[in-house]
Amino acid sequence: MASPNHSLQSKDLITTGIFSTLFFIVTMVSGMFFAANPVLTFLMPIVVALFTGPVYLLMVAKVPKRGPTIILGIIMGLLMFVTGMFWLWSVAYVLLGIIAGEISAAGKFKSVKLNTLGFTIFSLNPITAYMMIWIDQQSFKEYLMSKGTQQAYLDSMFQAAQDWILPGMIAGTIVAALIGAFIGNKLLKKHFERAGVV
Amino acid sequence: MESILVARERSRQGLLRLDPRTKLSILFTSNIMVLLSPGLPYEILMAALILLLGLLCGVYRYSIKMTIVYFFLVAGQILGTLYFDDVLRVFLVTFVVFLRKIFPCAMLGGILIATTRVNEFMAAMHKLRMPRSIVIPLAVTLRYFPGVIEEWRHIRDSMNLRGLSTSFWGFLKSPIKTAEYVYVPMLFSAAKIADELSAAAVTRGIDNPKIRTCVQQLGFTAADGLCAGCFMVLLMSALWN
Amino acid sequence: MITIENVSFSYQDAEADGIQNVSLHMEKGECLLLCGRSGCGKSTLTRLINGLVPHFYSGTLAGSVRVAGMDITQVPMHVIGEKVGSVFQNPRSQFFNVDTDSEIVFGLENLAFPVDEIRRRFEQTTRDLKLEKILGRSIFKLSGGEKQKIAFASVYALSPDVYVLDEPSSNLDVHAIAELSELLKMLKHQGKTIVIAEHRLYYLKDIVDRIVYLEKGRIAGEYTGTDFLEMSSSTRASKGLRAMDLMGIQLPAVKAQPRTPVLEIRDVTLNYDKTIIMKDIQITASYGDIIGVIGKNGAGKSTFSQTLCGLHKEFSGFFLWNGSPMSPKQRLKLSYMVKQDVNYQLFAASVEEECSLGSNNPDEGKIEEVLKGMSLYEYRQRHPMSLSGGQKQRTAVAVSQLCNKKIIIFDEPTSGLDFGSMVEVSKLMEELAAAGKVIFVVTHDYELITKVCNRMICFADGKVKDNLVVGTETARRLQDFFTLSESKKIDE
Repeated sequence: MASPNHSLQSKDLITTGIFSTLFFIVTMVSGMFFAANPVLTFLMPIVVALFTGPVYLLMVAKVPKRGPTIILGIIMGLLMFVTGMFWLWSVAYVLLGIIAGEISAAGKFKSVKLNTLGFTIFSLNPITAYMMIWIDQQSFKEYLMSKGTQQAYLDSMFQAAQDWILPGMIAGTIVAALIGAFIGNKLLKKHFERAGVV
Repeated sequence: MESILVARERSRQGLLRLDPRTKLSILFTSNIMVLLSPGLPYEILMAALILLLGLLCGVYRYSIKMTIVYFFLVAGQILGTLYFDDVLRVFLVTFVVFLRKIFPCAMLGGILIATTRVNEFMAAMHKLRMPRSIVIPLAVTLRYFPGVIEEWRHIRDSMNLRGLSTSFWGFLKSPIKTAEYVYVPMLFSAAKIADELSAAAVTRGIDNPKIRTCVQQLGFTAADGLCAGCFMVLLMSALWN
Repeated sequence: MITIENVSFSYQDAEADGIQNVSLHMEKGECLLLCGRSGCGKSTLTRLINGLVPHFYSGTLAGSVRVAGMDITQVPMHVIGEKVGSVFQNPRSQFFNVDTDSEIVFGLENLAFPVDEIRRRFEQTTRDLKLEKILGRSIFKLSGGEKQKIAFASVYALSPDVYVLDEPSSNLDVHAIAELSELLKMLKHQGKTIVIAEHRLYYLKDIVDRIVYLEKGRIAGEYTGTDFLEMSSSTRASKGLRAMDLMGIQLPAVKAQPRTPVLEIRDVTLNYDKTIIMKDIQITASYGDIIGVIGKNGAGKSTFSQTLCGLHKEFSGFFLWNGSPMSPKQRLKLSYMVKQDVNYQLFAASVEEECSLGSNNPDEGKIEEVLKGMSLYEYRQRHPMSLSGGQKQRTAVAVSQLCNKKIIIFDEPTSGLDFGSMVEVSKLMEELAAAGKVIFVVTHDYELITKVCNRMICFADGKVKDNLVVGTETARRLQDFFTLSESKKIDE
């Protein structure tokens, strides 16, 4: 634009829309493989955090303003809601989008460290989806028991899940997001800055 | 995706044409229904209602395909509970239940996307007083989604020509490298399309601060009331339980 | 209608070359062609007229631009959009909607026209542009030509006084170009003012009133249509311009034909989604052949090339190499395709890395040799995406050389290239042919075929309609294909 402008222009909105689409698709493609496997399903947030890093960081680099992460959160939240995911997940997307935007804004969207931090926090969003399993635990247990599963077995199962799968998932997601952001930042430097795209 | 596109073309021949706002309300109702569901028969009823809606809206192929998948999921849940031992049951059945629960809504979402034009959607969002900064990116998302599949095909072909593996095993062998080969052309192309699409939209007045008009007249008809009503009744019956 | 006075502009992020001290005046109803080498500033000049400069592309601007009574720098884009319509190069990325109907009314809706008026204009547009056949379709099911027509319709519906077209023919086939030419004639008849920036000139022969030649961001010459047609082909070539009169191009005498048949395509039928695309394909080719493949959009050219290089697997029949049949996998190893949009084919962070990509022990010496041969050596450290279109193409070809591919397919290698780059591409093909490759060129570019191909294959009606040696004797058949009369015949 002719004068530096902090409000979102049509170009920014369209760019955000395009990258949000990619973000959604990468989330689906990388997440679905893991979600489609009962043993690995708890790894889903970790894998998604690993692969969405480059898309997120390029978007922030292309539109270094406050809006994009929030819009990304809203679009992701809406699409997840539309595809029938737990509603708390959608709320988490929007809230974390706002928080991530504020963190990046503190570094005027140029700070590699703050953008990485923003992305890491944003990546924690799917954890909320798994909360359904813990919240809905009682009815689920009853259901499985009515089909003949041993009470003792179930209890230890859910205990294990409660004790370390949840913290494990959070820790794993943070590490994966940091790696994803590291790769994303490297790609930005190696390709997009050199080619003059950002 | 192909099937959704075909559906989009045929959608204009469907018996039913709903206002996008009605579709959104149906989607919300369904999502709450899944949350409050009293049990499997209820959810099957809900899936049947969604299938009916899909057929009435003219989305034949997609609706039927999704229904078949749904059928297998239900069968998997029932058979899995009957025949697997404890460990497998917990893992597999948990998972199938999870998928099956979100499935009807995903199916509904697909049907709604297939039957809504971008401009109708934008007009409906404006009527719901959504700000431009949400409406435009969302509209772009609807527009760009099928395009990504086209792009992926180009990239996959190019990688194969270079002897770079695009198979799953190839990915496992060198995940970072493979991801880079996909990301680099994909992201460059996204950045380029964002620029060109913006330029084309700006020269055709997308910056106009006035509320845009829509050639498809939005408005509620008896059909809107009936469809929303059906879903509402089903929701109420869940609350009753 | 348009007055540009002493305008200089340079882009903020130097993504393209600006212009210096340009003055231009245009009357209402005039049709102006802007031409010159890639990067001469002709696109920038079109952006000045439709307001993208300075509203969309930022930079430093001096001088004044007035179009249809508006000071372009002061008026917001949506107001300019009502008076100045723009059509761009890439039909794929111009669409905001997913269906054709909504796209046609997109501009009208943005400018908040009343619904009745939108309906009226929609109907008039479909009538005037004869769009009945492509209404109500998904844009992903349209050919490039159809897409460009819808993009055009979307602007036409706004009924602007000025049309600005930036390389509108780049992605079109011969038939779509003929249609574009008709559309422009209609606009001219309606008294519209038209500005076109183009490399391909022949289809504008009877339309343009004035031609402005740009060089390094400055106006370096102005001609009338007749002046331009009389320009000798050597002067034209020295200015880097394409031919305006295709039929005036001299065909070379028949070249010596290579005679060591190595590739034989026998009884091949191509299918796509279980429908037959082409039947009974019989082609033999020798080392050193450069075979032009022509045909309408949808005639099966891309399915053919995809199958030949092993990417598309729905076919029956045989592809023989030195007499033994090759599986798709073997063909994939042996062949390479340089795509029209070469951007999807480059993966690495530098030209040099691109060359060694996927190989465990790259041969440094050979890479250097190949890069020097492609005149890319000095760019070896550059990021491939920062290169020009022609350089990107050469990088892709360099890769094919290093992978030791024998069959090389070029898909529309000259779309959007100026004369100089076209000559470079044809030289490149000749070198590859001399090095013993079998080359197929899928193209709509008559100049390129006459320049470089020794043979030509024409696809039509689901079969190989012609299989000719290119030369003076076959000139008629070749010309027929590229003239409008023939295109109408094929249409029927």
